[in-house]
Amino acid sequence: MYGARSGVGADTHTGAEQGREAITGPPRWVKVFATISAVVLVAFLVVRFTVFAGM
Amino acid sequence: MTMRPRLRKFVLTAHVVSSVGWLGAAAAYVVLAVLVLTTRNAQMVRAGIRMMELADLFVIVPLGAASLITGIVQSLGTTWGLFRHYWVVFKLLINVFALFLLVEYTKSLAGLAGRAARPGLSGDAGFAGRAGYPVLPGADLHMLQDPGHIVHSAGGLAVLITATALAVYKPRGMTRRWQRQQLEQRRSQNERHRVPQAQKQ
Repeated sequence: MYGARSGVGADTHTGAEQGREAITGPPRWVKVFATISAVVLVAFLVVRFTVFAGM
Repeated sequence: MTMRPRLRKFVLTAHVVSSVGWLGAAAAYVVLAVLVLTTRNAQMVRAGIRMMELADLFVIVPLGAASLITGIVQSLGTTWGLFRHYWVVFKLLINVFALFLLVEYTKSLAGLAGRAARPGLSGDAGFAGRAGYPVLPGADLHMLQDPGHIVHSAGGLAVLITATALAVYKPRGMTRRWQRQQLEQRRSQNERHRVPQAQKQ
């Protein structure tokens, strides 16, 4: 972030370093949402193919 | 490639109509499923299954497909993109997953509707209900009253509400791929900007 935003600081970094610094990981809500979705999906599949296997 | 404002609004309208229509149809379907599962009237079960099949085939599946297609067109034709923002990626996954399950469910429903349309269901034989309705002791009618109807419809409704909430709130967060592309664009712009300045000096 620093390298990309600061005009002076940007010159002290190489392009590759700058890119690596500026790219951020997924926000917290994405991790929470993905976890909940995975749990719900597994639960659904278990129910679907065990309890309601005939459908 | 970005769409012109008129086309963008048209596609957006189509996407909202199909998505919200899908949600409304799914809600109505839950009511039908509850009716089919709770009634002790054989004719009501037959009619309910038939209505569910028609609603599924001619309303829910077309709306789901239209929602997916218009959503993809809308995202590719605007700056939102298909894989730039996490909420768009999640909506796409939800839509594809829901549509896949819907098609699978539709196949099994067609078999049940065929069975419901056949005369002589074992449940039709008895007339011992309070209001003179047929009672449902038979194996065929028991099969029609599968709780899977509720699992599919209520689960689908919950998933569609989640997708709608994502579209309204649009939570922040860009994918790494899009961040990288933006950085590269910014870098090339800076370089282009620097060259004329160096020439001036």
